[in-house]
Amino acid sequence: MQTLPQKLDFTLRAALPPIMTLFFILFAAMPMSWAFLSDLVTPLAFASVCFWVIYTPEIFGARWSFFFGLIQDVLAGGVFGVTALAYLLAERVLRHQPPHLLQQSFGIFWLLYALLAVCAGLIQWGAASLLLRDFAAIEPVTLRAALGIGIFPGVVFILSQFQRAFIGRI
Amino acid sequence: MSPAARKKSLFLPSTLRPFAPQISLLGFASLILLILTLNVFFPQVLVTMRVGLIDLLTPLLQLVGAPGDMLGNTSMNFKDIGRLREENESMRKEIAELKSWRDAATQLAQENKELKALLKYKDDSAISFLTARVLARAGGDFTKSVIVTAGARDGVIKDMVALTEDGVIGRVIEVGEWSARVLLMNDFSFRLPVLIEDTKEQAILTGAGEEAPRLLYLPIDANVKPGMQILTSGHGGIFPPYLPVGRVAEVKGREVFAAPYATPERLQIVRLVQYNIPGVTGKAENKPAEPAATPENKP
Repeated sequence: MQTLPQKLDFTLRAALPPIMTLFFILFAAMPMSWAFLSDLVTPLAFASVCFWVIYTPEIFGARWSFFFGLIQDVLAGGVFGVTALAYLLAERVLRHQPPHLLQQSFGIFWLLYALLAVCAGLIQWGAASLLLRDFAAIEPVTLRAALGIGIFPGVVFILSQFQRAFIGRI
Repeated sequence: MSPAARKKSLFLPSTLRPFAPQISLLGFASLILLILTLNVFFPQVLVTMRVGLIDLLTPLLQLVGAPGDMLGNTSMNFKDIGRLREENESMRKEIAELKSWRDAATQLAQENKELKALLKYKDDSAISFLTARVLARAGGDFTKSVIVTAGARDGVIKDMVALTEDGVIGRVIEVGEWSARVLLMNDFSFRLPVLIEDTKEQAILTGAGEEAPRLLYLPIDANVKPGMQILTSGHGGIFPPYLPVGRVAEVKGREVFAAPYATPERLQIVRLVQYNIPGVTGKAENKPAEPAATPENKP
């Protein structure tokens, strides 16, 4: 039977991954003086979702992935539901990997993340093309995916330090 | 089973708990299908939901953006201290010049008023405007829009024109209680009826994301050269005529690229203007925008 302080501790620690992901989403939406900076921070949210799904699967699952995908769609103003679909698919793919494989092998995690980032970009490209009734430019998608793949090791390092320090094993 | 996992499956009957992941997946897939269907058949429902959610997110966006604003203002203050004397001198000269222009403008305005009265001319000038701060740069790879800190409560209505000091930047497409979304000129779905000032040839300016906007539907024999000014043509009933848009940047065969005056990078303040365009249904009956009591709107 958990005491009140234990329940409170668990709740606060369980809330940190969603709070961090929400912060990344809102931070990426801030007007920035330099365009390249905003391009750099935009993939943070997707990287965060993928990280927490692997490292805290008990608290960050389909519901949070879907919810944050919807938040992205609300802010972006594009086709509603597309980012939620992309995040949900990423979560499902990551969940079906062998337990602890991605935690123990960063190279495989990075490779899988790269594939997921490209697929998420293609889903958004497809939705934009349908909306425009014409093939949309593919360059923004490839650039965004490449940036996301490039910054992923840094993101994982920061989040894993945070996870060890404040969340631990739930 | 961990406390978190145990807690999640308590909502299901015990017979269904082993299938919790599959049920969850089915639930989300149905929800996404519903949302995508609403996108196609009832888009207005989603727009209403979206503006409501943005209103809810507005305080969080302001909170997250506050440190950045403070840092930006502090750095600007330090820069300003360095060039105060220089600025003072140049502003004194500018004030003297503007005073003489003011006198000339007053005289011309009076003359204009008398001539319009003689001709019984119906005025389509701007009836009201308000200034709003950009709260969030909302957009992905294919959507370019910003969310501003003014909504229905401040008098913002759909299709208000968004201007910067340089020219047209977009128009209002969604309005919530506390915020509004402005579709920017570089969005792929942005269309603006324009004309080339020198030749009066008409075209449609269309956004192209990170690339320069293009002018479509120019006549085949159009005589367009780089450097020519582009203005709004007034067609379509949303943008009044002769607002500055940009210049022709490049002509590659039949493709004409524009260089807008107003650029979305570093966009911080926009002016939302409601124009009284004659003959447009609903525009004349719309409640005029009351200038919002915000710091940006004070003289």
